[in-house]
Amino acid sequence: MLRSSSNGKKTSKTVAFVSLLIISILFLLPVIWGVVGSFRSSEDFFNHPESFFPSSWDAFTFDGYAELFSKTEFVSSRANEWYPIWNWLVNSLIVSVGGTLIYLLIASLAAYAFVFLEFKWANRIFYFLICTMTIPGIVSTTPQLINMNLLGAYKSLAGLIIPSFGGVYGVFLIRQFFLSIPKDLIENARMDGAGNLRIFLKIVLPLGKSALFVQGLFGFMGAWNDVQWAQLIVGSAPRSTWTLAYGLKVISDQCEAYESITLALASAVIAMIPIFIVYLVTQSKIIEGVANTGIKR
Amino acid sequence: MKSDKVDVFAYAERRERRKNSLRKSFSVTTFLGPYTASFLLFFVFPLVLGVIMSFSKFTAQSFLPSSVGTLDNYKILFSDTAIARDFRNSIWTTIKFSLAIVPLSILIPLGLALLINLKPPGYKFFRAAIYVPGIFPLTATGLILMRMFDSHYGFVNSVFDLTVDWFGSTGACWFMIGFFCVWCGIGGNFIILCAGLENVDKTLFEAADVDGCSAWKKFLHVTLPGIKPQLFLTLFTTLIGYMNVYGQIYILASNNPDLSSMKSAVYRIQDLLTGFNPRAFGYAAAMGIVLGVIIIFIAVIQLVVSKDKKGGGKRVAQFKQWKENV
Repeated sequence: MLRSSSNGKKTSKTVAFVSLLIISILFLLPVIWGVVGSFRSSEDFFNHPESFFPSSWDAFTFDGYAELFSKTEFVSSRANEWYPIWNWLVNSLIVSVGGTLIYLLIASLAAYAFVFLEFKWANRIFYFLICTMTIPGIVSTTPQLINMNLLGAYKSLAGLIIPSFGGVYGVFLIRQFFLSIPKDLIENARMDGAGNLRIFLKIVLPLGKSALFVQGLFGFMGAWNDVQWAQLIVGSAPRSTWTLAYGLKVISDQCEAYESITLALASAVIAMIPIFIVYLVTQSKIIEGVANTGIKR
Repeated sequence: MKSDKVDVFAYAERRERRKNSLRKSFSVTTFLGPYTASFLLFFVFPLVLGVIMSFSKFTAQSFLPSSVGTLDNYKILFSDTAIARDFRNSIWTTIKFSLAIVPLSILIPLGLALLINLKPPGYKFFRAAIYVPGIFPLTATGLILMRMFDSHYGFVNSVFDLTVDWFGSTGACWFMIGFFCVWCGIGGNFIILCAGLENVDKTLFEAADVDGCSAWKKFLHVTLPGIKPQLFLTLFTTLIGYMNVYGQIYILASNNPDLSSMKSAVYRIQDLLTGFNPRAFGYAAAMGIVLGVIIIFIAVIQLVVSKDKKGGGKRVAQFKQWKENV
């Protein structure tokens, strides 16, 4: 009886292993094809489209990257083929890292106030904030664009950063974490004469590091991958103010002709590298953070 | 003399209290101030402005309304003009696409999570591999997909000797968009469901084993109820997410000759805004509000239904009773 059930378990494990192996390969295949393809010559795609890897050692080149980097400077005779990818990279970094750090500061200050400063109606105000989360973002897309125009942030990176500062979700997540910090700790510090700012910096922030980190990761990835808002804010600005994710769309549209396929793939790889590094380093935190959204409610 | 002394104490106490409350309100201001300011400026103000804009007239010269207090924008959306027909079609497209893709975005990750939950060797690697395509910018993964499925020199068509125009014909393009949404969109649901399965009470399975339940019965009566919160969460967020679908269609369908019939509601709004023609802002704001109301309506229905399930069908009973009385 026992043996048959353990045998059954073994078979089901084997079946799971084989099917997961196949599925993971299928999931990774396009990414690998794109990364490998960025090192192939365009003629090789043309002559050996059925080959997954470069068909010969000669077909293995850095042409795509060389071509891409040769088009980073503005030349008026071919303005349409101006891909200032370093600007895009820096812009994407400014928007995703800078915007996330400022929002984390604003949101954690607010979360501290909601949890540790017992002011009037703290909970009521907080529940009101939670209720506003049900309003779909599309309702305020159009007016937000006008708002950015009024603030002079249209066609600039600031317009990509500041709208996120009003977000409720980060305050909600950070507050949930702060709630688990023992109140005695804060009271003791107050008895010792520490001010709120000192308590915030020396006790609450170090304890809440992991919550801030997870929220920061999501903010970073969201900003790095955003296309929709970037299209509205910087899409009609000079190319040097675009972000990487938006620039890629234009490269993709303009490289329909087959000669530049390696250029297109090379730019995709450049956009994928930073986020992949972040993912590799913080993988367990990201997965834990996503998993927690389903558990702790 | 005595009364004097009391007065001094009372005064000191009052002063102290006032000083404390001053200090407290000062720290509340410093801690909550930045967020309150940004919440008002970047959330409340646009919301109010959006409502005002949807009731306003615009001229081509200014991005601010020329006159407020008209229903024209809404009237146009329900009239028989090209812009209204396009918008209504786009809403249908959005709803149909959501109804098709949401079941896939729940069932596929559920199946994968069940496989992961058997803990085969290397399951952590498999979990990461399935999650990874979703972390990249959609424009990057979409670009790769478009090259790989190119009709003439694409890898897929060459290997399988096909002549399918994956992005040129409407049906195939919808298939690719769906494929894209599954490939790069299920990661979050997958991880949430994995975590849910891991947290199902193991003793229940042991009890079911003792009772001699079949695997299917165990799945139906132990596993599914155990991950109900996660199932509802993923259903809720995925459906609302796909009601806002834009990026996947924008990236993959942009060269489709039939693009205008494939545009989602958000795509239509985005179209009006990218032109930055102030005249269209009133419509765009009204469209946003109409779409927002539809999304909230769907969300409320989902919430009521899921409450029902938790409350043992109380609302269904209420509804039946009400119907009998009518």
